[in-house]
Amino acid sequence: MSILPRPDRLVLGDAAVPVPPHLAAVVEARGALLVWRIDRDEALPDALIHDSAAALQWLPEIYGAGIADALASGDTHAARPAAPGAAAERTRLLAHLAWCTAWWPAGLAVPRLPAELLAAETAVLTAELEYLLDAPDAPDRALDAARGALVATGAADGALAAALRNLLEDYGIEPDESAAAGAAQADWALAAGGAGAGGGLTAATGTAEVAWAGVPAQTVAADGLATWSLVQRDGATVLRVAVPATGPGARPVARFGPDGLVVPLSFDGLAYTGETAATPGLLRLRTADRTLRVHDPRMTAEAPDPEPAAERAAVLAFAGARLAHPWTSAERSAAGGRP
Amino acid sequence: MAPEPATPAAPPRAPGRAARSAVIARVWQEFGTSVAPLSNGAGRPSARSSKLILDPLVIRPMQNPDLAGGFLAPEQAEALADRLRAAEAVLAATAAWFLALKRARKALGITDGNPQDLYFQRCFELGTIHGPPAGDAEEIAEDAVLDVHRSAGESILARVRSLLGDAAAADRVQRALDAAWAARSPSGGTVDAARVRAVLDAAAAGAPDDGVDALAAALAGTASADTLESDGAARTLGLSARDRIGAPAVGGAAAKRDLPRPFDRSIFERLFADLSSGSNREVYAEAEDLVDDEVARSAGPWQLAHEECRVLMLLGAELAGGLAPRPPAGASAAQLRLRERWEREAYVRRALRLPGETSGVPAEIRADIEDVHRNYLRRLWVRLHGREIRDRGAEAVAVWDVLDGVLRSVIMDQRHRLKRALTDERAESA
Repeated sequence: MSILPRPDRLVLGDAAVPVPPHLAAVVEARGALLVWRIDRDEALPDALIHDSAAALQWLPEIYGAGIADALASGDTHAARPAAPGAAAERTRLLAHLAWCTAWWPAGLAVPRLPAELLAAETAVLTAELEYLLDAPDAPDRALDAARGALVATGAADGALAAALRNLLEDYGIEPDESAAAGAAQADWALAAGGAGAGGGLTAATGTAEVAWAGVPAQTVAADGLATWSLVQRDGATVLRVAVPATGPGARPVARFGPDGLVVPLSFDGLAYTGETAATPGLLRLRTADRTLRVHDPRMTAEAPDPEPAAERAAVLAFAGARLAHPWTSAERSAAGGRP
Repeated sequence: MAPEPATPAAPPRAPGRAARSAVIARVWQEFGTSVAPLSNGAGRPSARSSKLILDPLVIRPMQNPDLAGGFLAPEQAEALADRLRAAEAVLAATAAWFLALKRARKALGITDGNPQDLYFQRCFELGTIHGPPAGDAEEIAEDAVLDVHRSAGESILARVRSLLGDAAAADRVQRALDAAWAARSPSGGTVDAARVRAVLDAAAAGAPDDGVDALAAALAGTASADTLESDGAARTLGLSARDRIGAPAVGGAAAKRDLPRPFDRSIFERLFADLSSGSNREVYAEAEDLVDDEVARSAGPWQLAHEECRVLMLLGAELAGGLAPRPPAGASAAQLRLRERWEREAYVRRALRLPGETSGVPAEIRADIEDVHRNYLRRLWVRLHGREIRDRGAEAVAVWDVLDGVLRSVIMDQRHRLKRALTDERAESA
């Protein structure tokens, strides 16, 4: 049973096409999974209902008062409410925070979002919306995850920090006020060396996209391209790979060519880089066989296909729009403003 | 033809039926800022306010069953609203006392436990007895906080520990344990598998009378425990690492991490697991009684004392069979409904950008996920054991909430471990 908003009505039905993960902003509500698509500016989510009785306790607050009748009567094309319910905007914000935490396309064009601010705002909003969330201990878990965020939040958004502090107190969770670990982002930019060090003659080179789903959040630059080079040096051929980074924390592995020659990569401050002795046949590979796939084996067993270009573009456009018109404290901070 | 997963249908429509939570929220709004300390950011009573104050102390669904449903007819909705309004003064007083107790807690430098869990009911008492805090409020608040922490779980555990540390007492406990275990014998009862399935399907469909009480009356839980005696049976269910279950040790020390499987835990470890979790309500028991009860409990069927809990283990074992990597042929409606959460999790994990199941996270986490049905039963047993210790047998248990809630806890913990696996720099991938 699902509720799918359309421009002029709510369609009630059974099937729902799963929204691709990188486009999905989700909230696990009681009795239903709510999914907003970030590439559509739609105030109402798709609702995948698995327990109507439980969901009906709060569905009207998202879809308006008429939804209960619509579900009961099986009227598959219920009229849209004049305006979304009171909780729709706040719930959408919670979903948006989940999406930012997972898929924010930090990279060459888009700055990172401060993780502490995301955690703080998620915790406060989770506590506010606890009455419609699936897990009874959702606020406790979210607050626990935000224990270390007070210091950084206080510096950026006093009101948010105060709200977080009160909640931590009420839930009996002790804040961790040691100096924030994430503050040293700027230090990574002071990198020594880069992908090009080492000299030699580049015999061949190429690029490849890296699937977002194969690497952890905010590690590999979302809008960057991995590059490979076959370099001849001192009579030997070396395969060098570099993947632009936006933060440490990934442990990517590159595989090149039809035989999947493995190049383990490590973070050098600007990129994940590595090189390995090239097998003799590599130079003779046809262009079509010079494939590079990069993924973090902790995320997936095999490197997934990169997300479709149009969807990536939509995500990057959405991030740009959020930096221009922030919805969250983290976005405001990344965009350089004060809340 | 595979059965459809049982899902609770939308309740029958009758004009004017209101969602219970909406009724409560509406009245709560009328109270204004006086109840703010008991509210969440959305201006509604917080989850703990509902669970610890409104339901058991004001609404009392056990004594007023027509106020218990999720959807209320107009007269019931009004009755509920009236009950709440009648309690407005005491709720406002409760809220004020909560602020006072929090101040006292801070002044005393106490930081452990969850203030809402620890103080809410005490504040309601104070509000009922004294009304709103007045001149001597600070003193009363301080006394209340000290009293709560004195009788809280931590000190009970300390008393148990010192009891078991005394050689003579430990000896007596050992002898009681030997006697209880020597007296065990199979019940010889039978379990009607079709009836169990029917009960599960009814519970999954949200039927008000699912037949669980009847199963308890028929001692089905006790009967089902006979199978645990065969070699490897308890291990298959994740309740023991041994081939045959045997009497537990008395014990006297425990560590939070790496507690053994439930049936392999010592008497002390069983108590430790529940009493050290900190956030729970006061346990009214003497250390000796607690230990004696635990000894007797360990020798019971499913190593539990209450038949309702044993029936829940029986139901859980039946359900857990559906949590295999692929849905088993002939899965029941209830098993399919439970699986829905498991299958939903696969998508949610991808949406949250967490490692996929076949990924290279540390082998123990992967095994954890593949072993979900064993984890589930272990978790269920621990939860039921905790309920028995806190003597909440009288509390109405919504069977499906318990069975589904345990899977949710298992899933949330797996997510947490997966997240940690990504951020823990020292973790080695398999």
